[in-house]
Amino acid sequence: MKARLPHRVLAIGSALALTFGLAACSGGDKGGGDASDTLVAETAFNLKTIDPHRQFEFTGSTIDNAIYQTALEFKDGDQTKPSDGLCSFTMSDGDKKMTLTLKEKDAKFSNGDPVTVDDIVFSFKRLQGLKGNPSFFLDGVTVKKVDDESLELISKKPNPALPYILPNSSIGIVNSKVVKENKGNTDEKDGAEAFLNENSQGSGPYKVDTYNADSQVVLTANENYNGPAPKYKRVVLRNVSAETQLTDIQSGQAQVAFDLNSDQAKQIDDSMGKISSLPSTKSLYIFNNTDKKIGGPAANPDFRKAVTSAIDYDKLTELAGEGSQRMASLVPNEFVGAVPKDQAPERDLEKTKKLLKKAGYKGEEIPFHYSSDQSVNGVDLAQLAETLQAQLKEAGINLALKPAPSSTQLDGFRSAKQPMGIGTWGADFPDPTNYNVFIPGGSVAERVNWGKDGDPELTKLAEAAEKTEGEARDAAYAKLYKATADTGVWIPLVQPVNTVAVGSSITKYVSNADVSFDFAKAE
Amino acid sequence: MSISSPKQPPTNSPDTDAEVLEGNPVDLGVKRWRVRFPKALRTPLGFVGAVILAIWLIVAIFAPLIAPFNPLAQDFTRLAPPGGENLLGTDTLGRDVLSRLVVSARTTLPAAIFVVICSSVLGSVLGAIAGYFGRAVDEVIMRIADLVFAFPTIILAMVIAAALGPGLKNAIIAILLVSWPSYARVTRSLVMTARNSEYVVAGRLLGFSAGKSLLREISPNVLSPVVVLATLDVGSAILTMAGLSFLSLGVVPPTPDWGAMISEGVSQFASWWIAFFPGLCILTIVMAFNFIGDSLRDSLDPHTAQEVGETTS
Repeated sequence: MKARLPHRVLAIGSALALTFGLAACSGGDKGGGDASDTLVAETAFNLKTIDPHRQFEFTGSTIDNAIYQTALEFKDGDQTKPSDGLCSFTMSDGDKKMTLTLKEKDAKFSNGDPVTVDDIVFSFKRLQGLKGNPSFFLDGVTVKKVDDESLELISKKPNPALPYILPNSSIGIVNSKVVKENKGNTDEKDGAEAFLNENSQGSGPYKVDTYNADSQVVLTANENYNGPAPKYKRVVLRNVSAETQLTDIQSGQAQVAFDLNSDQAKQIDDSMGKISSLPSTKSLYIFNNTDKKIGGPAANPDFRKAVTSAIDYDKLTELAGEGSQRMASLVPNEFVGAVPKDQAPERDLEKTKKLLKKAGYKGEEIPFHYSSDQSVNGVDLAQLAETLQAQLKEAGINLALKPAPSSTQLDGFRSAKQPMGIGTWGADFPDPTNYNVFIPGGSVAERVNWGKDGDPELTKLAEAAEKTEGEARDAAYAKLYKATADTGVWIPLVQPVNTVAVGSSITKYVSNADVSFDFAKAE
Repeated sequence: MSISSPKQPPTNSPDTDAEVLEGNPVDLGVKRWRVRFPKALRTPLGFVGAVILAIWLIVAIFAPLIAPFNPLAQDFTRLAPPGGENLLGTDTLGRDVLSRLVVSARTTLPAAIFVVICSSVLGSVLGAIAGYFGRAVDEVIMRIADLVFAFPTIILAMVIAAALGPGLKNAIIAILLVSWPSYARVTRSLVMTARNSEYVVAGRLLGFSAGKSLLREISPNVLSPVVVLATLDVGSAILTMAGLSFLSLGVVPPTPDWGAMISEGVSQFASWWIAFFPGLCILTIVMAFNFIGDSLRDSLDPHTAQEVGETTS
């Protein structure tokens, strides 16, 4: 025994020394990296493919934005006004017909081939035919080549959202000739995914050099790009956790970090870099099941209104970080059809008390479901749920937290058997029609048993909004979504902030709501 | 309380067997416990372990009196560093870290001790049955045990907890299901050795039933290693529970839990206190159980008992 003690003490001492040593090493060196031709960006990968017509995740979208040009785009990130990209456009026939005319005639793919109308038609048809995740973008749209200068997109129903859809990187234009030569097709027999992952066929500022969905993707400049040549000839996008991104930005090992939360962002001072806080296109909300048997008290409109007035929204925006915003509806504040945020509900516990009495609520526990492993723009849903539980408890509403991994939680939500919980929605395209799914009878509304006949007034408002055109759409959809929010079936909580950290070695860059960080314009 | 001579004969010495044959094996076991347990704690490490554990038990029992604030109240500035009103700082939701640490002991300690008691009883009973009866019974029980051994403990516990859903009860079930085989294996090997001992054979010749033989003659002689294993296992159980909570498969929020607190702190490197203090709690309590377990083993193991006696006398 006498002999053993020193060994144990030594072992513990060594372990502690190692721990503190490592901790000491992790601090250190601040400031940006060396100026060179390579830009290192980091994100926690959510990457399945970079085939533009199959990808539907953030990482794939970030990469494809740099590789592929689109028919239309959002100039300077203004998502309320689609503008010309490779093509100019006109809408006619009551928003049923869109005519695209090739504008960028000097655009060339990375192999030097010019971009043609045939490439655009092939890309649109391939997106539709693959029946992948992003195929719904062009559902019900017939693509028709008119001549070598133009093509038409004809929708069965008025489709005013189409100009807002086409800038999506999932509708990138590929070199049809090369893709066809490599098993590319416009139906489900297509076998070009693997080829496109290794050999991108876009006309954007970059092309893929190496692709590894688990570790990193390297892009190199496309010498045939018709725009200004990017200063950084090589972009390395690495799969790194948010915590490591912070230390890498602080130490100058990375120049761009996409996933820092607001607390982490605060740790970047001016000597290390800058923080770009962009409005997120995601919405966080509480859902309430409208079926009495499942929702219990949550199915009662007075109870839902009581919950709405029991929440301290300012604390939620504080939790979501600087730059996050209140929401008066599920539509993000920057979109057409958003309800002005000054109409967002306020906390009023007196009102809550009266409404709870009216609803006949007697303090019974309500299961409250959420994804325990999900974070939306740095907002940890577990923390959000705990905050809501504490706030509602102050108002006399008892929630029993029911955390579950994302996939399990989503299955439960889809089966429409959860009484209450936290939902998230990320805009597929910045148009109010993307939120029709929340109107009674919509695919998400079905998850809270809110069927077509759930609210005839809302259905009427939705039909009226659908018929409006031009600038009148904004007011019509705002009215619809304000009325939807007033039902309390969906209680909008907060619009988070999209934080991009940029190292001090980058002096000029473009970062906006459409493209979080434009690699090609970084200097 | 009397203290035995350091030269006391080991468990399986001819003297012990002779006493058993005289028909008083239970008394012998009780005597051994009375004599050796306190001595085990008189080794330096055993003493340190006992003191740390005693402190934690006091903290757990009097947690509501010790915790300075309501551990669920989000009343303070978020991520306030240690010092001032909040001695150990606040977490991301503005809750007092010290209060949460103290209250967490009330969940973690009893749950870990409970799960170890259950798994040691279950594993020992199954191991004893397998070892005593042998043949097909042994094969069935031990192959099931092998099946559990085939997977890393934490992975299997994660799978079970994920299937059952998060919650303290389910975490306990998960740990119980993965930890019983080690007791079964140890008990089985000891019972297999003991069942052919002369005193057991003699008992059988006197007409003792299998149950009586196992309970009265064999169990006192296999208890010590199981107790040592159980003591060491409390630390593992605490670690596994913390691991499950870290992965959101253990205690359901907002109930404070050390594992969940560490998980929260992982994304807040700059606010080191969120993860550091719960980590320290786990470290101290696991160390305490390991020190006690080590000392117990040294004391109860016939080969090292003499050394312990010399050290402490």
